Amino acid sequence: MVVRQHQLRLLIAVLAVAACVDGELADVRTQPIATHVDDWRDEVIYQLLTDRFANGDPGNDHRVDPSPATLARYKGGDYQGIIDNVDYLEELGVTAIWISPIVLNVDADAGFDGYHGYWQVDLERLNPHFGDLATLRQMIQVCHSRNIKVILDIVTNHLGQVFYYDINRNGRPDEWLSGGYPTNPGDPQAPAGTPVTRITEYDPDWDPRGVQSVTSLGESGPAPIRFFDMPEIFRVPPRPAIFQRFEVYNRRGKVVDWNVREQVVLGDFPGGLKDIDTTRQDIRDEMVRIFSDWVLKLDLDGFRIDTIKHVEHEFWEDFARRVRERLAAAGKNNFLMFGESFGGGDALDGSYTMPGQLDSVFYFTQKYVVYRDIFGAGGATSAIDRLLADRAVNYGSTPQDLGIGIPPQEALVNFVDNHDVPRFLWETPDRRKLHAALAYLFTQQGIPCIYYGTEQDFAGGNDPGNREPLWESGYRRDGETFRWIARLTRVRREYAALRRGDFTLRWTTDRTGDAVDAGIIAFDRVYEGQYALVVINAQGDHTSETRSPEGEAMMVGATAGTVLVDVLSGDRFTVGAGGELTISVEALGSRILVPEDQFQG
Amino acid sequence: MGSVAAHAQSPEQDASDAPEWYEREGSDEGWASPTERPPSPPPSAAEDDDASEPRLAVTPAPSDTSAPSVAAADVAPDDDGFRSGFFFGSYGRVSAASNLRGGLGRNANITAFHPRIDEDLYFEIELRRQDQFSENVRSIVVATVAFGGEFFHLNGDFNENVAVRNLYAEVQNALVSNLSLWAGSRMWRGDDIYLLNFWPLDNINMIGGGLDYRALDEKLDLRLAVGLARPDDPFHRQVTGVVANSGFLPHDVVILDRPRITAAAKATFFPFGRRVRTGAKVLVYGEGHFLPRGERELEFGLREIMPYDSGMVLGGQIGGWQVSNRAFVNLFFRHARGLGAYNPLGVPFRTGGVQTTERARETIVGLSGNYELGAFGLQLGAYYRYFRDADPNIFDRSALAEGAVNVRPHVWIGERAGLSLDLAYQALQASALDERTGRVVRGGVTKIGFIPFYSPFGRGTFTRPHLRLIYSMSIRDQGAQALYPTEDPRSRTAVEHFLGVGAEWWFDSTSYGF
Repeated sequence: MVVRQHQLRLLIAVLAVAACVDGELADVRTQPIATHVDDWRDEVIYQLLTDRFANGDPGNDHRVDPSPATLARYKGGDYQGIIDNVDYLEELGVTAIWISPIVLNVDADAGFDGYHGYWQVDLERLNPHFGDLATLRQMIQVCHSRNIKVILDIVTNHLGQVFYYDINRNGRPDEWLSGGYPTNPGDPQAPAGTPVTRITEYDPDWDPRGVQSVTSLGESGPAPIRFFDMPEIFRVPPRPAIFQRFEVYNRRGKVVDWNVREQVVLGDFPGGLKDIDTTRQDIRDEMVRIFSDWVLKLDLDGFRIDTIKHVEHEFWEDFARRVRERLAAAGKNNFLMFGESFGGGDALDGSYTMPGQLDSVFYFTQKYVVYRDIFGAGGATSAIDRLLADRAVNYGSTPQDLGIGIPPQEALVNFVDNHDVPRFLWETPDRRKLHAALAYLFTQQGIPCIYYGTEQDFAGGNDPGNREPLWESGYRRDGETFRWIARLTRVRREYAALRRGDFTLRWTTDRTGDAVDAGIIAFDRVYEGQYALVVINAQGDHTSETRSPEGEAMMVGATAGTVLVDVLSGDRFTVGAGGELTISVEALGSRILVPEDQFQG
Repeated sequence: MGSVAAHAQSPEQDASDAPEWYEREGSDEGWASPTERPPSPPPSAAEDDDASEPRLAVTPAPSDTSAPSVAAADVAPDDDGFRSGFFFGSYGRVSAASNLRGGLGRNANITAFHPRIDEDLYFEIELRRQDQFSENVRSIVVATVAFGGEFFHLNGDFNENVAVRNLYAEVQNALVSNLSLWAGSRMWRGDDIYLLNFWPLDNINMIGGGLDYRALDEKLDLRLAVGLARPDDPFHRQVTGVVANSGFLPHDVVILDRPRITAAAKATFFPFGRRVRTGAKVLVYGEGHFLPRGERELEFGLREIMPYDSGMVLGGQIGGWQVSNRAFVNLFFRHARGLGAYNPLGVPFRTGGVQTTERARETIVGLSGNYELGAFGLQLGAYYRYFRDADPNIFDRSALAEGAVNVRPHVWIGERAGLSLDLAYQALQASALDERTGRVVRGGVTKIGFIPFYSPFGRGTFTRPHLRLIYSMSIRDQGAQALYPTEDPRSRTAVEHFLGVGAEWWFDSTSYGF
């Protein structure tokens, strides 16, 4: 009888425990995997820093510094904040968000916080500042229900500052000045002393042999590394356990010359971010497993991959292929992987999109050639010709196997600004120029990506000035820039040619200043019988026309007699004989023209 | 009371053995209110003159009862058992145990309240002065000192963790007959679930005062208490140093000082009377909690408003007893909102910017019982608890459902020795997912134990002292193992042993069953 009573009580307890909180977890207990993207060129990416977008859960505001002056500290944004503001994204016309790295980071280092997510310490645990797994799943579900995809920022190149080089082998991290020792006191020709250098065990300079131990008597072999043990700020031996082995790090110190490829690939990222030896197959296996697992746990739609130029190409060939295979086997296709190769140059950036590697990269060259020099500084628009010519050579021209099905050349991720560069309005404090640049962003070939806060006219300078909390804007939706972006995304959504169409430049010019066509960028796009012509005047001094000073008119792809309607103004133009078309565009104005029979009003 | 961390940091229950996240994510921070106390027998049993009851461990001696006598150590009891004089009472439990792997035996529990077979060291001593004056006016002055954690003979540390758990004076038959008044620092508590070391209903620590009035021929017992607590933590009190008007040393300025006020009321009805051999009781219980608005400094030089907060508890209990079989059963219900869901000595929020407890909820259902027949006896304890913390996130390791059930049958071998079998199961499920596995955070622990014991007072479930041998085997399922950090050996250990020898006693202690 006693046993029966026990069993009964046990059963009651189990049922009662299981009943109550299970309901709350019902929708997130599992995360079905599906392909949510048809064609990535249809998407509008919105890059947000999770810590800065919206604070929906004050319960995770640990160590949050509310001062607006301290942008290098945690501010409180989280996944709940994204859930709460999905309407905002939808109204802006966003169809994909790129969120900060989700994994556990070193919380603080030298007075700075790991709010950005690039100081990872445990690749299998979430950063609790942003929320928990269930909330993250719910956020992704909410986004998917609004047809908003979710792209995760990942890092394979390095971890946070999880260890120091014990250069003097005293078992603690030190910084000191070394040198000044007499070289040969008996020799009057000898230097008075050895050079004085600053040595930091946190982030020592590059040494091709590996960071060396040093004493007053000289070098004494490779410096051992020691992991920190500061669990209160997550500054602990990294995980999974393979990252607790010294041999999985390159241990050569930080990059000091960005032009030396060996340093770029093998050196620590400045700030003490420890470079992982990604040539090791066991590391590659772990990276594939860990990040594929996150996709399968969360139903993610893409990776934005950090610091790809600091990792050898062979890694990407291995990583990209196996991630795609694993995800495809689970039913996830069209998974976008695009990388960040900041400062690498066009050829190097494009090299990561060659067959077998990534689907796309951040189009940094364009950022400078077009958005900074043309829209920002009023440079000649003919630079775009050269840029596109280089693109045809430097970037992959065939879709990746099991990739997104689009040649990388046509799927580059275009951006006006991002978290690594000053905001457009900081460098060019002219909202009209920003609007002209945005017109190009949303009509050119590729995938547009807007950086959070651009829609609110944020104008921060270099990191961290460009990482303002979005809530300081009040999430206003009636601002000019917000409305302009919302309008452009709607137009892009309505006209497939603007998303998927072949791209043909119709007019650029070497002329600037008072020239009749100064600032003109004109291109048309054709997709399955649909046509769009875009004409932008990138300079702000006068109205320009699509003709040369000598009277040569622009030739477009539409046939003679076609009536084109400017979807922004309603103005109508008729294509002349042979496809000639002269259109005037006011300073920093834009025209997006479609055939009258395709015009959607 | 009753919150996760309240348990985890209570002095008599091993905080270090709860999973780390469980402590950290808990909703309270201060020392918990529950102290280790003897079980609360049914009123009839407590007041019955059953010789097996150990509460008169000190043999009364004749004395003058008409006036206070500071010299008297003991005096003869009054008609209702009241005695004048100095008294000493105590509760304690001490054990030494091995985990059979070369380490100390320690508990393997995952829930806030759990089977106590492998519980930790704790004891308290009560010094009490009782006097009877004219017109049947009586006074009781109680001082209870409690010790928790590891003791000197275990850790070699000559410092113990000491707390004053009672320091109050009570006057009975004050103003009118059957009215008692008290004031001071006091544990305020009702019946417990002995096997789970748990007071599911009234269990308050406060400095304040209260009254007790018995009516309807003592069938109705009304109790009120009001008190406050102001723990020394940044949620309740903040002191900052400033440059003094003169001299060198800084001057302390109290920036935040907001005590939490708790008012509690309980009405107990004994439909068949209090002093019957078979009886029943029904009680209703309520608490109100109030925390004033305040302001505190943040570390960044900013100031922060701490808004007014409040909470409540509503609860009830029904029970019955039968003296002949030393049988009783009590069924508890408790629902708390806001501050009422948190321990008055704790901080509701350990991290984050949540500042009011408005969203917090706690619901508890508890059951305790005992039945004895000849050489056999059976104890029962069980509870279910649903707790949701105050932050708006519905997914949270601090939002959980949990429960435990514990049965302890025993058989007497002769009059003073016996053997108990202890069977228990505890489980919890949080409204959260494990980040590494993606699975729901939940786990269960099954315990099987044997307790051969010797009781010099003879038969009876609640006779004490007990000298015991204790063996307990705890079996964690995979979910329970996953509650611990992977570096913790318990995350890799499915079976935990506890083999030890120990003692438990209580006698002449007033501070339970208020």
